[in-house]
Amino acid sequence: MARRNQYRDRVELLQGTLDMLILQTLQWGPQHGYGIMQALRVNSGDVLQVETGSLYPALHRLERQRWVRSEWKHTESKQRAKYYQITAVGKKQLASDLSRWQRIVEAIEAVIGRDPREGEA
Amino acid sequence: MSLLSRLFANRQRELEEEIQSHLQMAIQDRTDRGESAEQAETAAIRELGNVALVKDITRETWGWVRLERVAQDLKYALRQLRTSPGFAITVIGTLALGLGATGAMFTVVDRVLLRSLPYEHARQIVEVKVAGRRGVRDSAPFLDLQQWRERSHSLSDIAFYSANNHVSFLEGNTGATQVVAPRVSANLFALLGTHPAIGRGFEGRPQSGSVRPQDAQTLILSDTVWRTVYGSDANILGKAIKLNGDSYTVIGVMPRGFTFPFGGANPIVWIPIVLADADAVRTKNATPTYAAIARLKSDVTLESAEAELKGIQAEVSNAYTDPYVREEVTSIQLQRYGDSLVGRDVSKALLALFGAAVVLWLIACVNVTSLLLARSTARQREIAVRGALRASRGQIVLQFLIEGLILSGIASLLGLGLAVLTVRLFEHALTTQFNIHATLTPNAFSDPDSAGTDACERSAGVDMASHRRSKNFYRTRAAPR
Repeated sequence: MARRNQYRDRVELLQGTLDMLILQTLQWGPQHGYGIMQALRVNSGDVLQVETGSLYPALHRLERQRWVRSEWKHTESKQRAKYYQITAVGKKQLASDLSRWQRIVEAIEAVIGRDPREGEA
Repeated sequence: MSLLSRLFANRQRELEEEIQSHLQMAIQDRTDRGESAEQAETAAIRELGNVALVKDITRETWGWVRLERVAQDLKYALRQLRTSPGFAITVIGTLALGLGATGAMFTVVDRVLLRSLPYEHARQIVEVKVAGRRGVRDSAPFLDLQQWRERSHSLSDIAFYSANNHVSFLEGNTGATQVVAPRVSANLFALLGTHPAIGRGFEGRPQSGSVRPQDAQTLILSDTVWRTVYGSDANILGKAIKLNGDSYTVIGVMPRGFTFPFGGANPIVWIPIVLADADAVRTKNATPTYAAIARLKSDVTLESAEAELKGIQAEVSNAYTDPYVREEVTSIQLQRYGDSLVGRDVSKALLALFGAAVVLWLIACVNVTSLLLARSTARQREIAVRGALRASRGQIVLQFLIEGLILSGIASLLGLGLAVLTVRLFEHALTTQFNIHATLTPNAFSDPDSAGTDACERSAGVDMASHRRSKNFYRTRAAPR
């Protein structure tokens, strides 16, 4: 029970951003779950380690909202895998997510009230 | 349900495969990086985490988990009932008996007391009867009726008919048919709020309501007769047909479901009342008398109308020359047409019986409640265990609710069956006693708006007197002709 709640909390915590990150990753073309996970890890310089317990619920939720659609295909190594692809609605959603994210980051920076370069100096 | 569960199983399998392929790719990546196959597998599985939990949470995003839980509770409840058949049978039997008795009684009460007459604003329609020293008479001579019509301010119209319960013979295309042929005044149909669906009504004199002499040999068919005897002949108007050997011309067909007088079993045709010389006097045994039916003005109560008519009749009775007859006609009794169809003692007896049935039903409910309470006490252990396994309060309550619903659902079905059976068994006695000529079925089966209405009507026979008729009646009226 405790473990379950742990997963749930994480899903909630990351929900907005995780959805955005998945959609952003899918912009470069259709990808399967494992591929998305690897892409997120590599692109974030090993900082973001998405758990499967967050990734797959998120993917299925996105599919239900018709922001992505899925299709079974073979990988280069002949492994059958479910590929996710971003839809037109998903792209719109991503755009609005990104601008919202931008606003949040700016707002937080304004509250913290210092320029990162000043901090270095 | 099976389609849904198959769909569900499919998605379940797909999710399983998706996670397996994830695992395979992870292992492949690790072996490519030079780990041994064994090492790679353990590491990949560890990285993947709790597979069952991942699947569980993913499934929850589908929104079907709630449904799945209910299905599980349903299965569990059925198993519970199987393990204690004695309890289940007692509860179901008690409820079914209570419901069956009440349902059967209500069916009768509904048909006899609650049926709404298929006429426009049926509560305004009253029977006017003459009363006097020697009781109440159902009919009065035309002269009296005419006085009421001219003097009364509480009636919007008054029509008359002679019920004529004798069987008449209508000669159709394929031999004679038994019908009843009441004689009616020209304004009767309008007073009841309807008019022929095909053709016209009788031509009347507005000042008396009686039919003009030129329409004396005309006749109006009921829809039932038109359909069964003349095969819905579209050219029926103007045809000459024979009733008891006399020739009549058909001038109209009434809408489907219309009947008057209400509640008869035989098919009906209507013939006109044309006033003759005998109607101009009040001679005992020579002057024909008619049953009077009137419509109250919408703001007039039964009591005030009766008081007014009593006053009028006191004067009217002075016109009778024979003092013996005069004493018999000094007053008026007014009764709603709907109430006049059921005797007062009959309705009292029926209500008492229905009350008894309701009490029986309440007793059944109380018994079942105490049985369920006793059982839940015995099951406290089970509840405690489920609680300890972190079943939420809602889940426990839901399970008990589902058990209760299954029990009462089965009992309701059985009770309904029992009600149908009871009504069937006593059908003959009921129809003769209460003059019900409809097929008696509990309401659940004769819902007028259900898709099966047509089938019901066909099986119920040609002439049905039930509230279903009213719906059809108004539907027909509303249809453009």
